Amino acid sequence: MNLRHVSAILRKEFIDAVRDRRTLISMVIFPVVVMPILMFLPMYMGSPQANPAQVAVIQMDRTSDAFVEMLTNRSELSVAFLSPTQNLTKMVEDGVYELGLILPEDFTGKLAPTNGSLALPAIYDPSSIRSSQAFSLIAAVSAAYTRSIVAHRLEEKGLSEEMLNPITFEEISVARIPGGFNIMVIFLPMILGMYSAIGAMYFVIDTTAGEKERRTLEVLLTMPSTRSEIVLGKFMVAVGLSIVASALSMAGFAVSAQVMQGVFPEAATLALSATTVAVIGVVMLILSMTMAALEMMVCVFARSFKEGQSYLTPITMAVTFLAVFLPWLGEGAIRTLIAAPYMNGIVVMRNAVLNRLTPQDLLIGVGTAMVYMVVMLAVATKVFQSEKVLFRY
Amino acid sequence: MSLSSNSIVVEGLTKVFGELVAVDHVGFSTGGGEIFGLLGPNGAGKTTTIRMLCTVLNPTEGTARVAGYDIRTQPQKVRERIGVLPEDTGLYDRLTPRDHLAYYGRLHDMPEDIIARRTDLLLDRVGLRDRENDKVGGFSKGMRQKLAVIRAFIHDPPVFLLDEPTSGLDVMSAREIREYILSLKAEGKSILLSTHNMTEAEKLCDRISIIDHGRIDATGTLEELRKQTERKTLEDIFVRLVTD
Repeated sequence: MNLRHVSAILRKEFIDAVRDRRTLISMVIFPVVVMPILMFLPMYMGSPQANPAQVAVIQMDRTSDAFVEMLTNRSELSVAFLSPTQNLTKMVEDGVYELGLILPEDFTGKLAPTNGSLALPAIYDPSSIRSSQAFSLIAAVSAAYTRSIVAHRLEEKGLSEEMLNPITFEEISVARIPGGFNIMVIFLPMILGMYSAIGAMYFVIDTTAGEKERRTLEVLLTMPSTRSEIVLGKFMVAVGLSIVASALSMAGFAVSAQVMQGVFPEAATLALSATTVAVIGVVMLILSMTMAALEMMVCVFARSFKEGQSYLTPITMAVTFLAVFLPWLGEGAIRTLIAAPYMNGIVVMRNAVLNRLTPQDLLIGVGTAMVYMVVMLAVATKVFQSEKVLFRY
Repeated sequence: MSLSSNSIVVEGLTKVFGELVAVDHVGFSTGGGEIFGLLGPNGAGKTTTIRMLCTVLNPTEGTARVAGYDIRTQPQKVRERIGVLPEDTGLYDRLTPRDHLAYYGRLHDMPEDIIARRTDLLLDRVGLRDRENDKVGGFSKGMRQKLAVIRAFIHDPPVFLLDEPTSGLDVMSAREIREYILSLKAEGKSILLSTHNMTEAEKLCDRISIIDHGRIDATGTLEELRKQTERKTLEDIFVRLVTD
């Protein structure tokens, strides 16, 4: 192995990659700008805390003032008052308001114990997430108001409110991170896993299928460098770009988390220990190497960039879906994936983030990931030796 | 022909792709200071022969010694001693001429100072010095071809394998490249030139092999081919041989 050849290939591929807009977009723009926006925007749009639900109220008289006060005190609701002559249903239909509520005359009188339940007309669109959220918030206000009335009535009769809740739960959490369910735990391994697959995807297509299409590969094959040196040089750049993309995605992720924390103060944060970050770093390196080798092996069969893209798109989609499905699996099912290709890395990262990574899981997960990586690299090198593959005859 | 450091000796070279015999027991030899032409129609087997000689493809049968080394058993030694111009220029659009020459120089284990010196010399020689830091993506076909030619010369090899070196070029660019090839001959280099351009073969080649359907129909100087075929022009000689 002539390291000067490897270094020359590495240097050239790096220059070529940083001058390639496609590589830069997939490596920098996507993780740093697009992904945080994709994560943040739906949460912002869907969150009444950040973006209060627009509720219109027609209050027929002042007897419902106490209820209205509870409504207006909820920061997730933006309440507008309309006159009874306005067409509330039409306004909700047209999306002017997400929910319309009519508070009838003699509101307090109608709540008297002898009158049974009062059905408040709430106009909303159950097919809309925002409108359904507005209804849930109104229902929560109504439940709180009802609870205060019931408590008052029970108190008058000398009864405790607790008699209405004969069973409650004493929650015993086995979670090893504070706060329990944490959206960050779902996102982090998924996004990192995804970047190990897509971080250097365009570079790999360009440096294999692209080189064949431009006929630059033929020139390279006439050089004194061996095919193993060529594979190694290209592979090292692919891994480097993948790691940079992953690091940038983590930075983008951290910035998104900070922004979300500012917008949603009650949202859970994720504090990672130095050990967890180290485990994630090692796993990401191995996963990036495995995916780079796999992608090179597949793309070398392609005659053109477009063909390479068609080969890799299903692979990257498949691994992304696998990572996305992980949070929906039970602990037992997740445990069975600890030795599965690619998923082993995701499971190790997920368990590390959840602070439940055992030494055995670490050993099996990282060990098998390394074996797959070595096999993939060996196969990619072997495939690169085949003139039948390179020249497709 | 002796197995000198700038010779090409081809013996029974054969390449089969599945059912297709692309090159069928081809044999010829050439030495230093000679331009040897492989003349044939498209699909005759010229490019496949060159690809085998530069060790990109493995022969199915037969072998060749290039610059004294066997293409089957010493491919790396062969690649260290050849300058190749493939049919397509094979340039990287996002790299500059200087980037290209530095890259290929490093792959030939050349020291950085020699690479820089050779780069200046070669860029001056083909008139690309003023575009040395421009990306090749914006170059004309002629400029690309000139760069591809000097890329093959960066390490000053003793043997050149040139596949259609003036294909698609305008008259002036083609002329410049031909003059450059003649200057290599004067330096004692061994040049194998594949072409289907009769004028080019006539102007440049000392000896010619007419190749068709993977087989060599005749080999000799233009005078020898004239005698053999009783035709005057190379075009008539060629037509006579490939239609026989």
